[in-house]
Amino acid sequence: MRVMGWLHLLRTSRYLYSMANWALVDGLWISIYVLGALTFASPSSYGVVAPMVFWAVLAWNLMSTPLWTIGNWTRFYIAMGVFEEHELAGASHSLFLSLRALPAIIVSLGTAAVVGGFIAYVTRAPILHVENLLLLAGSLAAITAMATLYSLTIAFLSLATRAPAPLLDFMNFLLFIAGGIAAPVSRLPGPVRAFAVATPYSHPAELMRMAAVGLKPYLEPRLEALLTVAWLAGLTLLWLAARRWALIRARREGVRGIGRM
Amino acid sequence: MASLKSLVKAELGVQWWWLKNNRVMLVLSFVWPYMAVLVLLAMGYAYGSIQNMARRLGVDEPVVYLMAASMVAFAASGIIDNASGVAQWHRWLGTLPYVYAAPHRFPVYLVVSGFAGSLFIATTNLAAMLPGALAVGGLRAGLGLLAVFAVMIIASLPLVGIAVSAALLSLLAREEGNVLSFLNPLLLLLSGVFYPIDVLPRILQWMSVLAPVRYVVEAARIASTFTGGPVRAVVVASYYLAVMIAVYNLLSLKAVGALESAARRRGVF
Repeated sequence: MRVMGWLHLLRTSRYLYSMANWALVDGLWISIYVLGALTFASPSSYGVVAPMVFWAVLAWNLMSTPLWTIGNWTRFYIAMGVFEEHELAGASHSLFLSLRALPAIIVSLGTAAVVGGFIAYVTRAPILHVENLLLLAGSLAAITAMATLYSLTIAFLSLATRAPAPLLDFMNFLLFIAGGIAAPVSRLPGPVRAFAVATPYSHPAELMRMAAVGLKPYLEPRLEALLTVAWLAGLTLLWLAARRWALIRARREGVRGIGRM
Repeated sequence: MASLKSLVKAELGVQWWWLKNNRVMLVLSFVWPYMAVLVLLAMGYAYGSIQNMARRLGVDEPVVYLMAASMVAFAASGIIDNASGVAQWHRWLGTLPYVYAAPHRFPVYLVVSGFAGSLFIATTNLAAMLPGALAVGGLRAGLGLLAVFAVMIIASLPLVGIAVSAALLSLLAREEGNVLSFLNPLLLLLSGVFYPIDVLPRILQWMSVLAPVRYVVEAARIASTFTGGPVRAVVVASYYLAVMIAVYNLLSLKAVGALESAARRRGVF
């Protein structure tokens, strides 16, 4: 595990400009939309709105970046022959892929710094003010874990079939808007609210808002925590099933082909 | 000239076949601009009201404006990303030496490829947004969207030299991805596409004067107010962009030659 983690960080340092560029690109794109969303809010509400938007952006980054660094990275994993190397060495694919979360977290934090800078400048609000630091850390860790498990599932499925990157991106956006990340579940319209409650990320996101600005979650805090744990368990089972299926298939038939078209 | 025509035809063909072979991408190309509008409306309604936004941006038809702005956000200045993207792809696939050895000069290939890509994206976005604009704002909104599209195409011309320079620089960097892809969102950020420019830090406000996309956004705002019209939008924007086309491309002409020589010397191809 130490060797794999070190290798991922070494690769990150060798492609430092790419990583910095990635964080900057994401940060600028998100800032464009965040600044747009802030034009809807009245300046008198910035004190509450600005931290909520900032933490929502960080949560979204933590859930979407692993999808690219883990879930959509398998085309390099296959193209460079790293899959076969791991098979021959008896090394764990899951461990190798899941440690890609390290560069993902670095990129997410870089992105959050860019967006946070813009939000703080425009609103002059204390965006880093936190009511409950422990709960905030726990909810962000839960979001990261969920995203990693989901990304690993996608990664294993993509050993057999092409991961449709645009569709993954679309799903991420859908979850951001309607899944209780961008806005509190209680402020979503009726049917969208039901959808948000049925999706995994809304529960740690509600806890995150409670920890950051003291906003009461849509469900009871304990129930939100329980549902977070339940979703984590469900996503773990999903990953294990996908891993088993994909590895049996890959060892029998090989991995999928790679190409531009 | 005939060979340039064949290059343009081939590049448009690549775009067409890429979309045909990526049906999901094709469908999503029509959905994405609406998703962007939806993100803004969803976040906006959760934290405030659309009246606030209309007042601060000085537009009379905020939803139509958001549609036009979303089209701009997805398609404007895409020529930089496309030119660099195609260079990186050839590097990854190992086809870069073959493209460089082809009869066309490499910078010409990058311009044609980048322009074909951005034209395709812009047209797809227009096709996606036009029915929505017609449904929400009627014929006037549709004409406004067409005017913004025209300005967007003109606005990509000052970026031709910058796009080629960025593509060559990204090849010289020998990094995993295109290290200058931040230029695209940066130009968009400077344009104030979804917000008034005066919210940006002072230095970025000054820089925004030099960003061609800013004038596309100005055109979109003129087109979505009752006082301005689609024709006025095109005329006002074209005036600034004409100056930029001359200045930017003359300045980047030397840079392109120097960067190509440097890339050749360092064995990039």
